[in-house]
Formats: sequence, structure tokens, C-alpha cells
Amino acid sequence: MPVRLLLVDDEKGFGEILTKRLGRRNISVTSVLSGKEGVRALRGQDFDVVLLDLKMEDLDGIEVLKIFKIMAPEMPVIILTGHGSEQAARDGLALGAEDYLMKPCDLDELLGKISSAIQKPQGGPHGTDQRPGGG
Amino acid sequence: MSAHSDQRPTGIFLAAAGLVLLPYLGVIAAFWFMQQSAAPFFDLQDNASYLVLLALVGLGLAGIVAAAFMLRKHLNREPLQDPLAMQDMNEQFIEAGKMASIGELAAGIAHEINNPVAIMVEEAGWLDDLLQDDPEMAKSPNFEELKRALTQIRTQGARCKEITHKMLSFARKSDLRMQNINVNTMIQEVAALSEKRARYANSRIELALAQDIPPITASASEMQQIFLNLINNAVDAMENKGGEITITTSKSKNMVEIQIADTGAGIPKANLARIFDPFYTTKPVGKGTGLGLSICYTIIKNMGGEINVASQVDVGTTFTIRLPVTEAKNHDQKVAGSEKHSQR
Repeated sequence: MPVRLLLVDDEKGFGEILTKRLGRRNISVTSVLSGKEGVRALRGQDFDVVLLDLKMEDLDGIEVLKIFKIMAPEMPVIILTGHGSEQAARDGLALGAEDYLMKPCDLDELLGKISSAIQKPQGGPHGTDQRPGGG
Repeated sequence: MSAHSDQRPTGIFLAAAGLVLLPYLGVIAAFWFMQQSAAPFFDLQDNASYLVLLALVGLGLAGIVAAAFMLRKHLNREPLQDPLAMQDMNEQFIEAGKMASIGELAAGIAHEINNPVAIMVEEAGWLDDLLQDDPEMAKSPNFEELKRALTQIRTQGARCKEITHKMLSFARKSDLRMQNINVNTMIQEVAALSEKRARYANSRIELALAQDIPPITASASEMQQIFLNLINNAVDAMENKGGEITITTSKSKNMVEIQIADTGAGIPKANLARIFDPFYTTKPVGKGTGLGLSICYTIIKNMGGEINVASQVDVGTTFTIRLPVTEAKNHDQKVAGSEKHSQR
């Protein structure tokens, strides 16, 4: 059974390509382009892990994180942001995020973080050995 | 500033008191003398009384002149000093404001660049995924060339990331907190930022950094300001003919020594003594405030360090900075020294 991942990022191109690449690695990605859509998606189904951007037009990533932590406190959230402020990402950690990564990131590094966030190696991401060198 | 405002009323008071009291005392003394001597006021026969009277009047006149002179000096000097001090402070505020604006701009640019670069890198990774999966592609004569191009896209993407991260580390808001700083790392960061400007001026930056440099205790943004100032000055000095900037680090006793040497125009001996003076500049109007080296000097002195310059016209200039090494017991301590610096 693939890992169910929710990607909340207003960069459409990034969501599309990450969906394809993670899909090949047995991760089923639901990509949404705003915080509000993310909240709606989480109402509709459960996810094993979330990748969350911080700077979005409608709802700030930190606000989305607070809502997610109320809706599904056990669901790990990884902050993935291109925003300059590493401090904001650290604030996210203080609010219960599992980890953070700055864009652009290496795919293998991202897979490693997803894997340790969901803490179930048997159902976790795999396939990183297929293509050494990552993203 | 507070020292000035304390001294000024005292000086004026003394001058005014002198102006009134000295001639008054002179006149009182003269009358006393006349009363004591039975001789007539203008008795030229009495040479002694005449001379004493003359001396008293002379003393009174000298008092008036001295007091007037003091008063004039105080009234003239103070208004001249204040605007200079104000201008100095204003310049520093403007500089701090500029740095903050650059910081915000850099953070914005980093965000705007990181997202497209992330997409670019992922798309290249996706193409690589597809190439790996298609055995027919591996037979193509262009396979190796495609792989090379994709690797190049990823390498250049990583380079963009390095640039935006350097911008961000430079753009951190002016932080006067004292912390342990690795001088070599900081010089590498600042040199990377200045490289492009140096290249435009046909110059190269060479680093000769010793490996065993211990940390120093300083404010990161102030250290950046020092290195940027000195490197920019070096680039300016070589603007016409190009040349080489060599940055060397070494350890001597309990000091870290940093040398920034250029092969530029050099500084004439007559100017050398004044280069650390505030507002002294030989740059064209609008190009330099004359504060750069003065600020460097103040920061370094406040840190207990020293800065020297050696220069020869048409050969080049070398600035040597010596900064005290962080004491072992303070290594893990964040020293709160912002108060000392904020008074500058």
C-alpha cells in the first residue's frame, strides 16, 4: 500500500513534478495549491504525511499547520519552503512540525525525511536505490 | 553627546563670571588702594602707587579680553561640533537602514528564485528517472550526452541554491550580538559576494586562509561590514588597471591576523595618516562618504583589536587587522556586548 502524502504548495509546477517523481517511488501524492484546499483535502481523507509550504497567498503555512495539528495531531507535517526565513521553518517545528527542508532540495533527502516521519519502514518510500544521485 | 552638553554650560558660565568679576575686582582693588594711600589719585611723584594702579587696571583689561575670548571660543566651537556629530550618527543610521532594506530585498529574491529552481531541478530529475527506465534510450547515441546535460542542470541548480543561501546569510538583519565567529568562513562568504564586482573591475580575489584559525568573538554583521568595506576599497583602488586582491589569515600569539592586500594605485604618504578620519575621502563626490574606514577602525578598536595600513603609490595597499582570539572559557558563551556597540 502506497504512502499517502498531501502536498500543500501554491507552486503548480512544483506540485506536478513532485507528484510524478514521488509516485514512481510508491508515494501517492495529493497535490493542492492553497492552504484552504489543504484543509478541505484533509477533511475528505486521511494522509500518512504532509509536505507544507510556508508562504501561500490565502492562508499562511503556519496557520495551516495549526489547523492540521488540531484536525490530525498524529499526522506528521514536513515543512518544505523556498522562503528565505529559516526562522519561520523553525517556528513551524515549535508548533509541532516533524521536520523542515529548504527548496530546492535533494529528492533523496526528502525521501529520507518522509521515511523517518512516518516511522514505518515496511510501508515507507522506497526506490531511492534505483537511481543514485537523487533529485 | 552628553559630555558636550555638560561641558558647554560650565564653560560659558566660567567665561561670563570671569568677564564680570575680573574688572570688578580690579576697580574695587583700585579704590581700596586709593583709600589706603593718602596720596592724591594722579600723584605722578608717587611712582609706586601709580604703577600698582596701572597694574590693577591692566589686569582688569586682560581679564575682560581673556573672558571675551573664552566666551567667543565656546560659542563658536560648540555649534560646529554638534552638526558633525549629528551627521555622523545620521550616516550610521542611513547605513543601518540600507542594510536592513538589502536584507528584505535579498530574502524576497531568494524566495522568488528558490521555487523556480526547485521545479527546474525536479524536472531534470524526472527526465533522469525516465532515462533510467527506458532500455531503448540507453542504446541511443545521445544517451550519454543527455545524461551529462541533466547532471549539468542539477549542478547549476545546486549552484543557484548556494547563491541564494549566501545572500540570505549575508542579509540577516543587522545583529550586534557578539558570537563566536570563524573568520575564514566569513571571508569566504564576503569574497564570494564581492567576486562579481571584482571581475567587472578586471580584478581577482585570492584567498590564502590558514587552517588552524581559532574563533573570534564579534558581531557577524559588523565583521561582514569590515570585510566588505576593505574589499570594496581594494576593488576601487584597482578600477583603472585591474589587479589582484589577496586575503590572508594567520594566527599570531593570541590574535587572528587578517591581511587584505591589493595591487592598486596605492595611497600617497600625505593621505595615509588621515584615511581613518571620519569624512575623509579621496573618492569622487557621491562615491564615498568617507566613513567606511572610520567605522571599521571604531569596530575593531572596540573589539580590542587593531588595524594598520601600509601602502606604496603604484604598487598597492595592505590593510592588516589583528583581532583577539576568543578565550577558551568563553567559547560556548554568547556574550551580550550589544550595549557597548550601540553607543557608537
